[in-house]
Amino acid sequence: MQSEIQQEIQVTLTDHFLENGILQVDYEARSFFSFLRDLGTAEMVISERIFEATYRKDNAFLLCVELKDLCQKLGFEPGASLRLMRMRNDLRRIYVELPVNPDRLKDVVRELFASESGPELDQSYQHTTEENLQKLVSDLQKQTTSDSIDQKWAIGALKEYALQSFLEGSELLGVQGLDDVEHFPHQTRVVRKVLFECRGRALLADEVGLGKTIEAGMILREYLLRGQLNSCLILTPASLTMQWRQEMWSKFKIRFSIASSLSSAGDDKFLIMSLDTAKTKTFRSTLHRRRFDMIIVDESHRLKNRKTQNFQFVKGLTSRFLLLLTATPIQNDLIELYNLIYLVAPGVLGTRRQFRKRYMNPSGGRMPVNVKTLRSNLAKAMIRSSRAKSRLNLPQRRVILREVEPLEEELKIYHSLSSLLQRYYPRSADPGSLLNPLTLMLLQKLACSSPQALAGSLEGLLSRGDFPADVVDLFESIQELCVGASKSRKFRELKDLLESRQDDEKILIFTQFRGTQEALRKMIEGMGLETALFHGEMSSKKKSEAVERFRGSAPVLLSTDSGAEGWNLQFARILVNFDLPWNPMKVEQRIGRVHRLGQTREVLIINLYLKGTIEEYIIRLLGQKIKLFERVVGELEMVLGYLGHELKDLETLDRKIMDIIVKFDSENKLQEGFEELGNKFSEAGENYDKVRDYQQLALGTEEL
Amino acid sequence: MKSIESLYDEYLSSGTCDAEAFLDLKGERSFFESLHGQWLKLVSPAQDQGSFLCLELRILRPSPFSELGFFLNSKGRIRRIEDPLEFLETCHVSEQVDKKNEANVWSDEMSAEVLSWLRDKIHTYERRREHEFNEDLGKLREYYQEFALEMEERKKAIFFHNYFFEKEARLKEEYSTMVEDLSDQAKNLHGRYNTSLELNTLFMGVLGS
Repeated sequence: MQSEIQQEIQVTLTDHFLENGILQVDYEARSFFSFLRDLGTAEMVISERIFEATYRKDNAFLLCVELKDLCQKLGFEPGASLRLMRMRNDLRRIYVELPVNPDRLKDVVRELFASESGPELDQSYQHTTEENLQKLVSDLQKQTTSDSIDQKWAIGALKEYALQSFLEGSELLGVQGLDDVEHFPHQTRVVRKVLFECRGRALLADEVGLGKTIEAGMILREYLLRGQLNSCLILTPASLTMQWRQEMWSKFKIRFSIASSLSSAGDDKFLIMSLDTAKTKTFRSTLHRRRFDMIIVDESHRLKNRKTQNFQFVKGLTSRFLLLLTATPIQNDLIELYNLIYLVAPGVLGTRRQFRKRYMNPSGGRMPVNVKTLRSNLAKAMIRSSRAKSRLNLPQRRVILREVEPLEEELKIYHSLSSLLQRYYPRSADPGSLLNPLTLMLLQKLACSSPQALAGSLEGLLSRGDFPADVVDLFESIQELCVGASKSRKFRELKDLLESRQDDEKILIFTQFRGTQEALRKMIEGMGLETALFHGEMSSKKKSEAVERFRGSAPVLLSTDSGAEGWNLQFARILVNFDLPWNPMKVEQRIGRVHRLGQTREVLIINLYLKGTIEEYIIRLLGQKIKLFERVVGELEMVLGYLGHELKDLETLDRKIMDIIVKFDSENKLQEGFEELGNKFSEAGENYDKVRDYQQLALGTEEL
Repeated sequence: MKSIESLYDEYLSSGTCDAEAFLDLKGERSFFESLHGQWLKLVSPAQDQGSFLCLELRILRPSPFSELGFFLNSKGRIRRIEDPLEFLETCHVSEQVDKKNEANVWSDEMSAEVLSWLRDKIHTYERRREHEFNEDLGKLREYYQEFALEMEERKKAIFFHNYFFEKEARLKEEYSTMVEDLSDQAKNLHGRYNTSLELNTLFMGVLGS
């Protein structure tokens, strides 16, 4: 090498160089770096390795970050000097001699390159060792028994084995015995795909209302029956933990616990936690140390951003199977989809940059390009069923808002209670207050339901509490008014409706209160119509009998809201909301009993509301602002997800409504208060609608 | 409720099985699950004399697999019976069968035969899993290589940037996060593909004439 040296220089290392790799070139040395252009590149050879450098002619410096790293590693101080040599036949190649032992230099250079050579991915599959196999056989010899067995029993066992093997290879075992769980072909398709194609790791992104929870339960059950699963962690939004536990138990007979302590998070095999709790400092490291067989993340679009704690937390969890559930895998940007897929099957969509290059529109639009390739790659880890393709489009809904003019007595009752509310509600949370917020809220709701139910509740209250004299007087006067109002116009309206029904038509009537239910029963039976009753105090056997009666001889089912969940009544198509819950989810649950998969006829929803009362505002909130009656069942939950934090908890919504009633005593102000609340819902609805439409545009309507 | 015999006969004649009826029956009483190495004394029509062993190899993960092994040691010659059910059905029970062969069930030759069967099954199974493992690892490796290449390009590009050292620091951080991440993913892959297996004696017995 020495013989070919054309030129050499000594350079002294400075602080500047050791910090950022800039080697300032003095005037004499400029001839050494004879680059004609700015930003010319050079190769610096050190211990047979090539380090890349850039020459900035205008600033007279050479930049070599790797050389800086090497000098740092070698512990060079400012003042140390390097010898640079240029060869005759290659002006761009600079040989560097460093003041260090060549062996040490070699080691450090090797180390430097090794640290950049990436993770240890040259691992190989670990086979079961011969020793393990021998141990298995020798252990077996130690297990002896003197029991004997009947030949027929042994033959039966072998037949059972043959049948089990056949079924495991051809059938989904988890689907068998799911008589109480309504499931559909698209869900069975999902289970098959997750099991046999995605190896248990998938993003389940069905459209809203197609039953992702059922799919996850079916997959879980399938793995359980196949003996492949012993532990599972379900991460959900906080408001859904109970619902998940209840569904997993009632539908799949899998008992989950909701982790409340560190020990349950560390030990329980089937665990449900809210993502927000799980990622806290208290639980994070315990959960990261565990190895679950399966992890299910509901509403997993909350993992869309890789820089968030949510994403990082889930990435740190270890499990064989992973199911991410969301109807909206893309919220604003296609890269969110990439992030979700990365959790499920890293590498399937290439690197982030490749993904951007291949599939994202360079003009900045949110629409993907190369859609065909994207879809085929997505299909390896994502499953999306659509209503249209699964032929699961629901029939139309028709909504009738029936305004009912209240009786004079009813209005008096309503206004008396409103003034009581305005007086007592602000103080109701005080300790020792006999009229707590819930009681006051209940009375306000009862006033719009039926005078009978209200009278019953007031009687109960009076017998229990030692109220101030003015409250007692008020309650008693309301009770008297209730007697006069017993022929409430809502009852008359319902009577007309029932009289005009077609003979074979089934009508499902919902009320929030047992007292109203009872009064309605008397009225309807008085009309000579058989009525089935359904309420929360009934055993499940009685409930099931009531549903069967409704399916059979009874044309009317009178149900409280405890009948709104879990029972399928799609053989009926007319639903009457005799009174309206303030909580939109409850209204949706009511609708969901009849307007669900399996319904083939147009669904008629009749809402009765008392004019000039809170019900008028509620109906506007539900109908115009939340657009509840236009939405597919399941969408409301998504809309609520877009509400501000102060409204996410629906109990807070009840309170919020009460606050408006109490705070605004005039009609105009009340309207303003509800308008403001309604606008928050409208905004959330619009945001959700945008995201929903975006899924269709970006992912298409074809199934994945 | 249908009997296991009728379900099996249906399966033989139609090639299908009523899964619901099968699970009902199994839920009520499982013949298979109550086997734990009990004894049988049989007389074989083929004049076999000696002992036999019926084992189940069950692989729980990474993907389920199960196989029965039926080994017969007759007059010192060991052979594997391909259809244990057929074999059992052709034999009949006899209390007169000499018990002296009981001790020979786990003879050295029998142990060697079982081990060879086990080795063969596991190796065949693991070859397939190894292929899948390599596929998944390949995806990670490919991902990493592409990522590393990108980093190289980006590293070169930062020299054009005025604040390249900050950019460089960011790239380094991104790189090391990725390296850590991929190492974890690769470790997880091992966890996911580790074979977990069980070997159980279903029943065993002596054969006489």
